[in-house]
Amino acid sequence: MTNHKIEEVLESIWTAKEKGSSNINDIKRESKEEITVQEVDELVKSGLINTSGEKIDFTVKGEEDAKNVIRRHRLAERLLTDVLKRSVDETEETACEFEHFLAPEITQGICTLLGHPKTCPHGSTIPPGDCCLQARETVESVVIPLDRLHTGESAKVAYITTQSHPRLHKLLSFGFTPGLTIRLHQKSPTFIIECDKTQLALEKDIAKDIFVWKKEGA
Amino acid sequence: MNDKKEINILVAGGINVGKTSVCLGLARKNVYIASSASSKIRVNTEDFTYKGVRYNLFDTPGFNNLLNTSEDELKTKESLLNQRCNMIMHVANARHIMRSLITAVQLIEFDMPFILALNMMDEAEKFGNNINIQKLAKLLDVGVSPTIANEGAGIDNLRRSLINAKRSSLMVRYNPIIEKSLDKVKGILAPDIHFSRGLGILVLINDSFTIDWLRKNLDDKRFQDIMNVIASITGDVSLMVISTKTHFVKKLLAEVVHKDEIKKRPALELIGNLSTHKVYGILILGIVLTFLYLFVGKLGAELLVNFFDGTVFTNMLNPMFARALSFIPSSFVRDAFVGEYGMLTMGLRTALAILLPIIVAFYFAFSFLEDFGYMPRLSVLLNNMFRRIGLNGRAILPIILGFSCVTMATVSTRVLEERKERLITILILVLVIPCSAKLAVIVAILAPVSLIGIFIIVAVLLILMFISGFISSKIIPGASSDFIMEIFPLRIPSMKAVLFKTYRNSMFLLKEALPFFIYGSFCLFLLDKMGVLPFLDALFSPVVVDMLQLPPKFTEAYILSFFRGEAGIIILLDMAFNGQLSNIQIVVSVIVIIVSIPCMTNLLMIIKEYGLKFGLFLVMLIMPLSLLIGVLVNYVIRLLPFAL
Repeated sequence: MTNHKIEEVLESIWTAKEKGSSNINDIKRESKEEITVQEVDELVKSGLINTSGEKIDFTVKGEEDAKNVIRRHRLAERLLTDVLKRSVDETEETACEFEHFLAPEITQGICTLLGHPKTCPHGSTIPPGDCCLQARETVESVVIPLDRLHTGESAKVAYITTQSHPRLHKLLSFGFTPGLTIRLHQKSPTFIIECDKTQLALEKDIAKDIFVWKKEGA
Repeated sequence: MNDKKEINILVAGGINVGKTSVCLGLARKNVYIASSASSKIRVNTEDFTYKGVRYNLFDTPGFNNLLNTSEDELKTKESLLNQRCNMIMHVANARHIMRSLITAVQLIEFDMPFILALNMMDEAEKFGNNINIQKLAKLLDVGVSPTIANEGAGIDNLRRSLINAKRSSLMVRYNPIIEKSLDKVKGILAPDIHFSRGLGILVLINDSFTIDWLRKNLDDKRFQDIMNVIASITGDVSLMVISTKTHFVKKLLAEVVHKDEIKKRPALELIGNLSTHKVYGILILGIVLTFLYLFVGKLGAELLVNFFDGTVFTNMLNPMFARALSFIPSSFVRDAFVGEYGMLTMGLRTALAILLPIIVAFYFAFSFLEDFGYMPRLSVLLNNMFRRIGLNGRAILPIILGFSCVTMATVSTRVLEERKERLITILILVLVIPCSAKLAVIVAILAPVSLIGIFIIVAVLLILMFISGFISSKIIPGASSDFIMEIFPLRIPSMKAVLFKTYRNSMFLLKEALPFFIYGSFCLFLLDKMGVLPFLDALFSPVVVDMLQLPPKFTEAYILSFFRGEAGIIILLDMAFNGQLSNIQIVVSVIVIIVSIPCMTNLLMIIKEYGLKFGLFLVMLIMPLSLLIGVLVNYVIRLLPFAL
């Protein structure tokens, strides 16, 4: 049984469980691929799941593995929709690929980049990783929308998440590219930011679309 | 290029960068007129001959970004695709050099001889941007001519450099997906259509205008091939293209532009910061408005007007005119010049003694604030308020300009990005903004009215502005544009520049208004002598006398105001002086005339810019509305427990 297949089955068990069922038939319905009796047996032997009659339950190790698969899948969805602006339907296939090969460090990187999101674009919970728990203990997430920056703080533009092309073109033509260092000068009545010795005024609506890395200690 | 005797130049560039001034300058036309009119005179073609080559200039409407799909870009795209021209002259704003160069790189991709006129160099230098022209020319591989078109500087150089215009070898490389697709498009178009990377990009972003154009110019099979190429691309082409270009230009600018350390002026910086603050900003606005009132209202409209109108005209010139013309035997002819509605005693006097001092004071104050750098801060301060009526802070500029001349302001609505915003702004301009000429007479006529009366007028107009803005923002389809604006540091205004602008703008307005004042008084004189006026008065008396409770003569003022607002109010002024109007009647009649159509020129300009249908719609809406509001105000005022 391939690694790929194991992860697919674990994923199906997780999603069925989220919907409140551990019944084998419900789990099979969640899966895109056929799940055979032999495969279930194999997972039991590997110590990932326990069965009793028609019910299937995770072992501690199995639950951990499943959580990581789900986490990679849903973070990938977030990445594709938020940063790359793909529609939710488009992302499914790519996210399914992602869930099998993302290394733990990269998963963590993506999670941090996205500001430790709590839900996927479909609204399901993204299981928190170590990075999320740490972030919650220290400060707020590192990447935040510009409107959550405090007046006087400096930050670096991470990415712009707007659906509107004219808005993006305009921001870019004002030199608003990722990597630009900015300082928030005021928030009301209109946002004013300083960058490259110039001041730019923009509305809150636009500020919400700009995600920045908050500068430590600034 | 040199062997051709005729060269057609496409003049392209952003909004308000001075394309028209450059064109007129090149054609050795009077640049002065063009720039002072805020591109009021719309030049579509100009031509001139230089060293045996005839150059035809095609002035296009300003556009923001060729990758956008709004109507402004269409004309430029159409000219580029149909190759009407064999050279591109890009007029760019040196002050916003980054945005300008992104457009330049876009235009260079259309693979035509190219010349860059970097206009507004004075503005760029004022703000501490030193641009290395030679280096820029080298990096872009095109001719670059720095100009200050409204002063005519650099235009001769630009004209000389046209002969050397060449295709640039510059090529911005995109990511492999786009490059591969560009190659495919080139292959499909190859035999019939001249391929340029600019055209290719428009195809790849699925630009509707370009696709329609291809459908007409390609056979079905090849058109389908093109559509297949477009369909095969994953990812957002326009995003990839624009970010590649932005990065390219950013890198280029780092080499070309040297920013002066702007001398720190802590006091100015503090005022600058306070003026956009939500509380102190309003306070500062209050101070600015008070000064504006003292300067324009007291100094201009009272002191200067009293001096010119009372001392110069009434006491000195008018008797002189009368004596000089006393040799004419016919009293009819004499009255035409120096009578009650005389061309000299009324026409010339009101234009020079009442209108001129006020517009000079207004333009001085306006140019001062503009040069000081205050205007963008006002946009920041009032953006939220303007949002509620479907506009953004940018609309503040045309509206303030309306206080000088509504017609000029109508033209300047072009700086607004969306048609919806332009229409709402025009509605507000026409309905509630009195131009300087009207203000001049209004200030005079309101002299006996108490502060409460003046407050009522301002309040009615403000309420009307919000209601009309709010309703039209719900009715007119379309979106409002984003508010992103660069704010430059405040600086001490250059008196020379302020005086120059004041002179230029006042002269322009005077030239426009003076003939009307003279013909207008002549027409009134004729109507008066022919006895038409009493007839008109009787015709409108049901509305005027019964509903507005105004004297029948108000009809004359109302009809005249349709041609020129202030002329109507001058009639009222005359009536008030003769004790024919009570204070309540003054307030009501002033409101009716402000709300009514500002003047004929303005209406014609609206029709020219936005079409006959919109113009007629405005007339049909505003004429009854102005009377209705007058009736309402009259009714309410008479219920108030205090006198005006």
